[in-house]
Amino acid sequence: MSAVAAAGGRKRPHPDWKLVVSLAILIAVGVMAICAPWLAPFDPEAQQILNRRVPPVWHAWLYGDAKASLLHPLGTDALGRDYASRLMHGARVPLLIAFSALAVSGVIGVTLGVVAGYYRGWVDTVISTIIAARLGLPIMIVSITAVALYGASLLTISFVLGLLLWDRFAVTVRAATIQLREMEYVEAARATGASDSNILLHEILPNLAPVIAVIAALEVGQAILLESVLSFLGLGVQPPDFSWGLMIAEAKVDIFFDPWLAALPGVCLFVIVLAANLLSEWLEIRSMRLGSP
Amino acid sequence: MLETIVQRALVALTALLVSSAAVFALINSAVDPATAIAGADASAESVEIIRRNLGLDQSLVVQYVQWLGRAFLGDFGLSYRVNRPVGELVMQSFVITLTLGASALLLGGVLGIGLGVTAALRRGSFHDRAVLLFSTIGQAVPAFWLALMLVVVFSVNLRWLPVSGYGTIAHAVLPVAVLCLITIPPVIRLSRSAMIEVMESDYIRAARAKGLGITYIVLHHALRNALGPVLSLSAVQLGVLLSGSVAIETVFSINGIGFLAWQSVQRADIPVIQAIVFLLSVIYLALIVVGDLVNSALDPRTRR
Amino acid sequence: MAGDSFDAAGLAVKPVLEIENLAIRFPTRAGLLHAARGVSFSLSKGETLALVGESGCGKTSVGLAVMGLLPKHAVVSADRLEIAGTDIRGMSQSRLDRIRGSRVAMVFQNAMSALNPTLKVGTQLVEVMTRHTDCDARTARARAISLLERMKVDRAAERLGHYPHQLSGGLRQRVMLAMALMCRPEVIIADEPTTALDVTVQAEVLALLKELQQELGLAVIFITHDLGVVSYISHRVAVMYAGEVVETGPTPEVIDNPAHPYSGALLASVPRFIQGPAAPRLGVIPGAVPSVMHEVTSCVFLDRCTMAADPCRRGPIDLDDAGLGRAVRCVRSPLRETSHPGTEGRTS
Repeated sequence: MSAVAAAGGRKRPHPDWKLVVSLAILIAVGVMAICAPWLAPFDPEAQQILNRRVPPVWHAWLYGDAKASLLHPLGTDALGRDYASRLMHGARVPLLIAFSALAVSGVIGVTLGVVAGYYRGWVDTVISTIIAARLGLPIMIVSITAVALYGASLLTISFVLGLLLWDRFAVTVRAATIQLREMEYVEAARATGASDSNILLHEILPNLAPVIAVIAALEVGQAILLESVLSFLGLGVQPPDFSWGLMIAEAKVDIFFDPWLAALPGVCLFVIVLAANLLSEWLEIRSMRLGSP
Repeated sequence: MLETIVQRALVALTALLVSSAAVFALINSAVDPATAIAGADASAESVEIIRRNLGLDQSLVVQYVQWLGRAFLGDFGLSYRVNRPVGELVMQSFVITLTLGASALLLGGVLGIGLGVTAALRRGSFHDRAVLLFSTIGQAVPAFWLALMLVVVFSVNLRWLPVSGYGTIAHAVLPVAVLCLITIPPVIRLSRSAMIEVMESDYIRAARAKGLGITYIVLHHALRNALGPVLSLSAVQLGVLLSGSVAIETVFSINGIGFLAWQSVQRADIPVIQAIVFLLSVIYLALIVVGDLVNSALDPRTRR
Repeated sequence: MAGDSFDAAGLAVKPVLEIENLAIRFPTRAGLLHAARGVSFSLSKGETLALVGESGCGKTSVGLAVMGLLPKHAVVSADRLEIAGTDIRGMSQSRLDRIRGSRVAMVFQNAMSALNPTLKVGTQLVEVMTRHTDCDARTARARAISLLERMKVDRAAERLGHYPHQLSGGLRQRVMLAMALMCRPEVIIADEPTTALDVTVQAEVLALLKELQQELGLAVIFITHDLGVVSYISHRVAVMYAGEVVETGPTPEVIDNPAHPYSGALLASVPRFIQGPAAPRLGVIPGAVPSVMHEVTSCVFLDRCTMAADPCRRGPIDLDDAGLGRAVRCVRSPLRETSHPGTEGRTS
C-alpha cells in the first residue's frame, strides 16, 4: 500500500473559495474602515431631527414604506444619523483594537510557547502553569473588571484583551516547537555548534509561521467579538466614540419597533468574524498539506 | 495513574493561586476598597476607620493570604453593597447559571456529537459539508446579538416566548438555545475529527475484515475510542459556558453569575468580583482534571 | 464452512479462490495509480500460496481487494474474483460482511494496531463467532479458549480478560490467528503476519500456521517479502513486481530454478551467511521500481533486466503458461525457451 500512500491517496479539491471570500471581505471591510471619513455619504454624528428612524431602503421594496429611500440606504437611527455612515465608522474601533490586541497576544503567546517548547524542563513546567492559570480565568469577567477599573480607552482595552487572549498562541506554538525540536535539521544545526538563539531564530521560528498564521486569523475574530461584548455591556469605548457593539447596545431599546438598528451592526460583526475564521481554516488546510506540524 | 492525577491537581492548584493572586492585585491596586465602601462624601477619618476595621491597612500580600485562607473555607466576606454574605449571593446566582449551562451542555453535546459523528461517517457528502458550514457559521455569530435577534423574532413578533426573566421552561428556551450555539460548533469539530481518525485506524479495518457490519463497528468499536477526547472537551466547555454568560444574562435579565459580576463591577463590589473569579477558576480547573480523569478511565492503556 | 474431505494428495479438486485479470487503480491528484495489473492466480484447499515482492509491488492491495477492504475510491476490476464459487465483484459492503470473517479471514501484520485497544481480547474473539453463527457467547468463549490453547497460549481463559496492550507481541499475533480461525474459514489471507516479530517468535508462529493449515485444510495466501519464509511455508509462489505477477509455480521449483529475471535477482539478493573469501557478493538489483502511474508499453522489468532485448520493448508481456504448473511473464525466460522453443522474438 506504500505506493498509494506515497501518491497522496484520494483526490480532494482544495477549497480556495475560503481564501477568496475571506480575503475579499477582510480587504473590503479594512478599506471601508480606513477610508470611512471619505467614503461615508454622511457625517456619522450629524443629527437630523426631522429624519429620525428612517427604515432601510428594502422596507420601501418589501413593505411599501414611503419613508425609506436610497438617500439613506441603511436608514437612520433615533437621532436621525445616517446608519450606513455610522456602520462604516463603527468598523474602525473593533478593527483597531483587534489588531492591537493581536499584536500583544501574539508576542506574549509565541514567546511563551517557543521558550516552553524549546527548553522544556522546569521552564516548561512554570510556563505551563501560567498557561493553566490563564485558562482558568473567566476572561469575560476579568476583562470587564479590568476595563471598569482602569478606564475604557482604546489603549487599555487593547492591552487588556491582548493580555487575555494569548493562550491559544502559547499552547499551539509550544506543541509545534516540541515537534520541531526533534526534527533532523535542528539536530544537524546543533551538531554544527549553532547557538540556541540562532537555532530558534533561523530554524524554528520560520517553521512556526504557518501555525502562527492560523491562530492569528482566529484570534482576530475572537478579539473583535470580545470587544463587541465589552462595548455592548457599556464597558468598552464610550460615546461619542462608537463601535458596532456599542451601536447594538444603543439599539437595544428600539428592538420592538426598529429592529434593524440592532440587526445591522451584528450582521457586520458576523461577516467579519466569519471572514477571519474562514481564513484561519484555509490556512490550516494549507499548512497540513505542506506537512508542517 | 494516581501520580498523574496528583500531578495535575498540583498544577491546577498552583494555577489557581497564580490567577487569584493576579486578579487580587489587579483589583486592589486600582481601587481603594475603603473609599469605595465609605462612599464619595465620606470624611477622611471615616475612611481610615473603615480601613483599619477591615484590615485594609496591611500590605497587599498579607491581605491576599488572609483572603485566600478564608476563601478556601468558603468565607468570602460581606458584600460592599448588599448586606449579605458574598458566598450566599454568589451561590444563589451560580445555581441559575449552572442550570442553564448544564442544560445547554447536555443538549448541545448530544447534538454536536450526533452531527459530528454522522458527518465523519459520511465524509465529503452533502451532510458533512452542511454540518461543517453550520459549525463555521455558528462560531462567527456574536452570541449576545443572536440573543437579541431571537428575542425580536420569538418574543416580540411571534410572542411565543417571554422576553426576559427566569422561572419557567419557556423562560429558559432562548437562553439555552443561544448557549447551545456556543457549545455545538467545537463539539462538532472535535467529534468529527476524532471519529475520522478512528475510522481510518487499523483496528477498524480489522473489525471490518471480521465482517462485523458497519453499525456494530461504529457503536461497539469506534465510538468508545473517539468519544474520550470529546468528553473531556465537554467538561471544559461547561467552564466556558459558565464564564461567558455575562452578556446573555444581561440580554435576558437573568440573575445568574454573569449578571451578578456585571452588577458588581459597576458598583465596585470587590469581594463579590473576587469571589466569582475565584469560584469560576476553581470550577474550570477542576473540570480540566475531571476531563483528564474521564479520558483515562475510558482508555485501558492508562489504567494500570 | 469448510468441509473436511481431502483427496489422496491432500488437495481439494476445486479451487477455493479464483482470481483472473485483477486490476486495482487509485485516482490521485497526480494521475491514475496502477497498484495491480492483470493479476491472476488460483488457490486450492489445503494449499499455501506465497505472494512475494518488494514493498509497494501491490501484494497487500491484492489481499485487501479479495477482502473488499480497499478504500472507497479504489477502482477494482477483474474477469473473475470468486471465493468458494461466489463472485464477489461489485458486492456491497453489507453483503461482503457475510463472507468476511466466516469464509475468508485476514491476519494483519501489526497485531498491536489491528486490535482495538479499548476492548478486551475475549470480546474481540467472541464477537466474530456470535456475529456469523447462531452460537451464544458462552459457546463462543469456549471455542476461543480452545483455539488459544491450540495456539499454545497458556492460561487462555485468563488472557480473554486482558487488553491487547497487556500481551506480548507473539501472543497478540496468536490472538489474531485465533480470531481469524474462529468461524473455520476456507481462505486465510495473511499479510506479513510475522514480519513485525522477533526471529524466534517468528519461527514459532510460522510452525503453528503450517500445522494448523495441514490440520484444518486451510487455503492460505501468505503475503511476504521474505524469501526465507516463502520456502518454509508455501506450496506455491507468485512473484509480484510493479503491480504485476511475473512468475508463478511450485515453491521448490521456483526457488531452485527461477524463470523470471526478477525472481532470480530477488533470490540472489538474499544474504547468505557464508564467510571468507568464497562468500558470494550480495546481489543488488540496479535501478528502482518504476512508477506505477503509466500504462504499460513494454516489460515492466525492462530497465533493470540484464537480459533485456528488442522483443521486450515491443509491448506489454503476457503471463504465459510454461508447463508443469508454472507461468512466467518474460519472453526471454529460459523456461519458456525449453517449453516453447523458437518463440523467442514474439510477444504472444
